[in-house]
Amino acid sequence: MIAPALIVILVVVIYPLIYSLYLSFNSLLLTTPGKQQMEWIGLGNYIDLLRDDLVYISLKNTAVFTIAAVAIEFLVGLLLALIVNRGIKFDRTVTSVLLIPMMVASVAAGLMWRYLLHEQLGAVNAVIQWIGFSPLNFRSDPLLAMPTIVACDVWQWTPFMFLLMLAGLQSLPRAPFEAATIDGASSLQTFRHITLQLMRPVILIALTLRTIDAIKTFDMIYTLTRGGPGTLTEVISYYIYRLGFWFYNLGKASAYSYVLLIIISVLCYVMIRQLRAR
Amino acid sequence: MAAQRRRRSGPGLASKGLGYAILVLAMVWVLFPIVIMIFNSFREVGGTFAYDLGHIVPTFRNYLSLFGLAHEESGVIVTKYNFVTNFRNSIVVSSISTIFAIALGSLAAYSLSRFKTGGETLKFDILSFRMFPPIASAIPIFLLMKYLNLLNTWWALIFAYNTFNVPFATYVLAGFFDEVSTEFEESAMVDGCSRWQAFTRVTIPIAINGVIAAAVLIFLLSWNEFLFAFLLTSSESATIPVAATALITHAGIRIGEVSAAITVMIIPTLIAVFVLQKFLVKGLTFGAVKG
Repeated sequence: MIAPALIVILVVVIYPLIYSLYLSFNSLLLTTPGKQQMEWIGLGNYIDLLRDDLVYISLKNTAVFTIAAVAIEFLVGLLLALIVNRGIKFDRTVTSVLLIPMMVASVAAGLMWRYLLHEQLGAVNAVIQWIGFSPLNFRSDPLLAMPTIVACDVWQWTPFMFLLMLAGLQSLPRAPFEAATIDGASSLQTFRHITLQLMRPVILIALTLRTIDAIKTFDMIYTLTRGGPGTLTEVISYYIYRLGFWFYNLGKASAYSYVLLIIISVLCYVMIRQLRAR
Repeated sequence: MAAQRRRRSGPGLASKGLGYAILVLAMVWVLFPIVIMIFNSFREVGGTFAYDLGHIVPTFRNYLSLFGLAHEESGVIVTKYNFVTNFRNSIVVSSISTIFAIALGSLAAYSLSRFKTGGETLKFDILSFRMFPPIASAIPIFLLMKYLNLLNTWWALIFAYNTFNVPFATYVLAGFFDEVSTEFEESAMVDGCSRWQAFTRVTIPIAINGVIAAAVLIFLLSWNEFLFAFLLTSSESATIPVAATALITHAGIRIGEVSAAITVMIIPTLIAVFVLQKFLVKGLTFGAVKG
C-alpha cells in the first residue's frame, strides 16, 4: 500500500535531488541561446563558489538572521507557553489568536509588514511622526534592514515555538513536580531542574525545526528587502534564486543548493545524536 | 505556612496580572498588522492616505477593482486586475494537490501505521524530505517542466507541491491512524471484510477528524506556497501569493489593492484557525512531542 506514495516521492523528491546533484557538476547557462547544452566541469561550480564573495556574505547573513530570530522566538514562545500553561481564562481564544501568524502565508506576512513600515504611508511611521520624530526607512536603512527581517520572522514564527512548548508542557508528568514541592524547591529551582530537563527533547526538536526553516527563508526576503540594501540581507536561498533565475547559471545555483542541503543535513544529524544521547 | 499555601494554590496575584499583561501585549502585536491591513483594504484609493481617522470613507472599490468589477468614475483612475483568474488558479491547484496528497499519503500512512513498513526509520526518512530546501528542488523541477512544456500550467504546481505535501500527509496521517485501535479493523475482517474494506469503511471513518485536519493543513500549505508558484507560473497562471507580490512592482504603491489581495489570501487561514484549532494543533505538533 505504501508503493504509490513511495513512487511519487521517488519521482518528485528523489529525482530532482539526483538531477540537481548531476547539474551541480555541469556548466549550464541559459543566457546564451546557442550554448544551452550541459558540459561536465567536475568540481568547477564548487570551486567557483569558494571564490565568490557573495557566498560568504550570504552564509554570514543567514547565520545572523537564523540565530537572532530563533533565539527570540524560542524565549518569547516559552514565556507565553508558561503563562498559558499555568491556567488562564479564555485560553482557547488566546491560543487561536496567538496561532494566526504561523498559518498566514509568509508572503502575506511580508507584504503586511512592508506596508506597515512604509516610509511615507506606513502606520508605524505615522505614529513615529505623530510623536515628533522623523520617519524611519526600515527596509532600506543599513542598520534597520536585518532587524526588520528578524522582527517579521519573529512575528510569524514565535507561534510555532509557543505551540510546541505548550504541547510539551502539557505532556509533562505530574509526579516530579509534586516531589519538588514536598522537598521545598523554589519555583525557579523547579523550572531549571525539572521543567527544562523534562522539556529537553521537545526544546531540541523545536529549535532544530525552526533553525532549518529559518536557514531556508526566501519569501520574507523577497517581499521585504530583496536582499538589500546592497547585500545586507542577501541570504542563501535568495542568492541561489538569483544565481539560477537572474544570472541563469543553473549549474552554480545547483551546487550552492547542495551546499545548503549539506548544512541542513548536518544540523539534522547533530539533533538526532543529541536526542539519542539522553 | 502562609507562603507555602500560596505556592500550592498557584502563582500570586501580581505575577498573574503580569502574565495577563504579557498575553495582551502579545495579542496586540499579533493582531496589529492584520487589523491595519484589513482597514487599509477598505480605504479610498485616491485619498491622501494619511492616517486621519476623521476622514475615512469606507469603500469596496479596492476589492471591486481587484476582481475587475470597478466602474470608471470621473476623476478616479481605476485599474482593472484579473484577480478572478488568480483566485481560480489558487483554488484549483490547492484542491487537486490536497486530494493527491491525502489519497497517496493515507495509503502510505496506513501501511506505516499497521504493517510497520520499514520500521521507525522509514517514517523519519519520509518526514526528513520536508527538511529539504525548496530552492534545491525548484531548479530541476523548473527544467523538467520546461522540457515537458508544462511551465505556466496548473500541473506544474500540482507536481511541485507533491514534494512537500505527500511526505507531510503521510507523517501526519500515520499519527492519526496510530490512535485508531486495531480491534475495530480486526473484528471487521473477522466478519468478512477485506483489508481494503476495513481501511476504507472502518479506519478512515474513525480517523475522519484527523484526515480532515490533515487536508485543511495541506490545503493551506499549498494555498500559501510562494517559491514554486513564483518560479513556475506567471500572470495568467499565477496563484494569489504571486499575483499579490506582483502588485508591488507593476502598479507603484497600491496599498488599497494589495491590502485587499492579502485579505482575500488570509481569509481561509483565519477561518481554519478558529474553527479547527484543536485538530490543527494536533496535526502540527505530531512527532515533536511524542519524540
